[in-house]
Amino acid sequence: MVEITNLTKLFGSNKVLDIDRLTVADGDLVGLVGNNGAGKTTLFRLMFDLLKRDSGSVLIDGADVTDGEEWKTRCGVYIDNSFLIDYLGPEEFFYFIGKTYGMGKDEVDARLETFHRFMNGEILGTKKFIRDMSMGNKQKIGIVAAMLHSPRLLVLDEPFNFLDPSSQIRIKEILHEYNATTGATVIISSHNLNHTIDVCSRILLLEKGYIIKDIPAQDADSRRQLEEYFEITDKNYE
Amino acid sequence: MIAFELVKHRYLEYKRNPQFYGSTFAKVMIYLGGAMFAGYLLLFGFLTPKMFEGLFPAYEPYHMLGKWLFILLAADILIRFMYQKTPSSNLKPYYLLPIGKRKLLNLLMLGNVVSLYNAIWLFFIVPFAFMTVTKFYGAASAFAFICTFEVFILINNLLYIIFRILVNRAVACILLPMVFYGSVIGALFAFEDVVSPVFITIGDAMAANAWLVLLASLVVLVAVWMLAYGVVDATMRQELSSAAKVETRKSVTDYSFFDRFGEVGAYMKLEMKMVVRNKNCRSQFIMGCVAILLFVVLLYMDIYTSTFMQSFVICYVFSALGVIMLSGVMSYEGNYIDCLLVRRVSILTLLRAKYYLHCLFALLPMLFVIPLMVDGQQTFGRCFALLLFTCGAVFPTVLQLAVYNKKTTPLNDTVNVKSSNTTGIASVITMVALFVPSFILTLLALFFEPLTVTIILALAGIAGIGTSGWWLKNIYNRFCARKYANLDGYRATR
Repeated sequence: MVEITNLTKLFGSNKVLDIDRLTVADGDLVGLVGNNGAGKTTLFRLMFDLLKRDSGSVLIDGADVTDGEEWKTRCGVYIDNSFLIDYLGPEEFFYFIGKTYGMGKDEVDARLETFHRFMNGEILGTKKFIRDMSMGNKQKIGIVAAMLHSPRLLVLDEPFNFLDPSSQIRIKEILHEYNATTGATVIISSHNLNHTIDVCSRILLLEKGYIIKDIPAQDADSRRQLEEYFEITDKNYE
Repeated sequence: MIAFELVKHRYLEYKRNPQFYGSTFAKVMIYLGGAMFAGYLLLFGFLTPKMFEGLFPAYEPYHMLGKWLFILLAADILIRFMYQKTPSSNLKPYYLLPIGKRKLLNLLMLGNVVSLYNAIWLFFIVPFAFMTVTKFYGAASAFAFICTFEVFILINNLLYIIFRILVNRAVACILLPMVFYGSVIGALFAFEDVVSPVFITIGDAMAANAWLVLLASLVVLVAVWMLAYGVVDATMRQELSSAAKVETRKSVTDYSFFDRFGEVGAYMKLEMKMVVRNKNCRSQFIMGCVAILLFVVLLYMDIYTSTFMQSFVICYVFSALGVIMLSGVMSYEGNYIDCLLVRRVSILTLLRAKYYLHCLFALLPMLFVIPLMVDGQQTFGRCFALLLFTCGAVFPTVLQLAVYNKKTTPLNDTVNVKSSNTTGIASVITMVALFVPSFILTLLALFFEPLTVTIILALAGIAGIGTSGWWLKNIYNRFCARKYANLDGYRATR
């Protein structure tokens, strides 16, 4: 699904991303972890041609993302608030996004129904513009909009941010279910190790722009490896 | 010293504004324009004393300057409304630091008042004062005269801050400067015998009792400063607290009329909602309509006799709204540009939607000019040709800014924003879109019959409209070529 080769990004003379080779297969559920400044968001922006790369290539379904736009119909992405048109109401935003993918209102309504529990009655029918909503609800709107057209590649940056505990659990279920039922590739980044290990089948650990570990999450040792890296000990919880 | 640091931040904010980077050509054009303006002022500074002496032998030139002072100040504020940036700054990061709020706001206002534009008036007043005031009162009085005049300009700058902030908050406030300057100037003409001597006396006092008048003007400056401070403070408070305010709307208009136009229609709806639901876009729209109305009234009053002025005003009637609104093209979209860019051809569709919607908006001036057509001042053919010309020539020019604008403009905040600098190529393209059509119209009127001029304008417009698919694609391709640099700019100014 995604093939990254020799991808580098420099800010001035500072190399913030350097990935020799990364392949994400169809149906993978990948978690990207790393400290602040590790390059997670930069990688996502480069994957979707929102940032100029200094070298290398990103192929989605075999097509370089800088060469055309066909890949956009197969991808869903939510990184931050700049993916929201905040003077629209949630319904208007979903219908607009649906329209850009050729979806009719009925189709959008049917799809929104599947997120009913996740939205928890706080988003639809509130007669509020997105800009007047809480950060958590904005996050939910962004995630739902990214998943609206059932993309074959879904990328979410910090999807657990701003969400209450119930919604965090719900989004984990949604992502897992979506990956299992549609075979779609899902890539998320998160600082929450527990959630990432729970939901993902493969974890990539980024440090200062380099992928330093690529570990299967099901591996019993993976949690220990990550906790060691992030210096998480029982003492932290005392 | 913290004040120095804050001033440095304001300077860095201006210098590091993405819109300012790398546009040497535009910078040169702006400086050239400023130099030309200074040159004209210098010329007037030397010519007006002799001219006033010749025209009004009973008075000294500084009497006449006093008499026409308010007209000069009205022209000054009009120029400020067209070109001076709104006093704005991103003060949020400083608000909770142990820095006096008073100091912050005073520095914000100072940043607006310390403008080269204010100093440019010296090119006029210095030669004027030394040629006239020194005749009776010596060099020291001439110096005080110059200082007083400059204080008046600064007071006008502060009034601009007040008016501009109020207009940004409620467009109806545009009536305030119109009433303020209009009533005095109107009184000057309507009750010349009573009002004129008052201003002549002010002019006389500026020269005869120069230091005293300077002192009095400084007192007024302080009073107006405090007034402006109050307005900026209240607005800042309101904008900072508005983040916590959550509104529930009783009804939401969907503009479903546009649904019939498919994907482009969806973007037209989006554009329409952007204009209607966001304070800054809405203000621009209303300002555009007010400008049209104002110019139609001026034409109706038949006060312009020269072909150029008539051409300029009628061109402006048709192009003002589009130029005002489209000069910020893609800057508002900077707030959600990522949302658009991860969807296929959405920028091209958005540009098409913008163009079609503004062609629809361009029909508004046709309604405004009906009285002029009924009055026989303008023919339907000429107005229709201008409508076509605006859509086919003016809009393609101003839409070029979609390639060059790389600064996010806040949709609702007016004062508490990162930066409101409009610099670089945006100013140049806007000036071209505003003034070149009137030059063309004047030139055509010199060489051809009115009917021929109408036909040429209409044909040029039709050609532009007919090729809109091509030039919009061209803008889109160039936007894509500069995409990364523009995205960096949008992110940096959000």
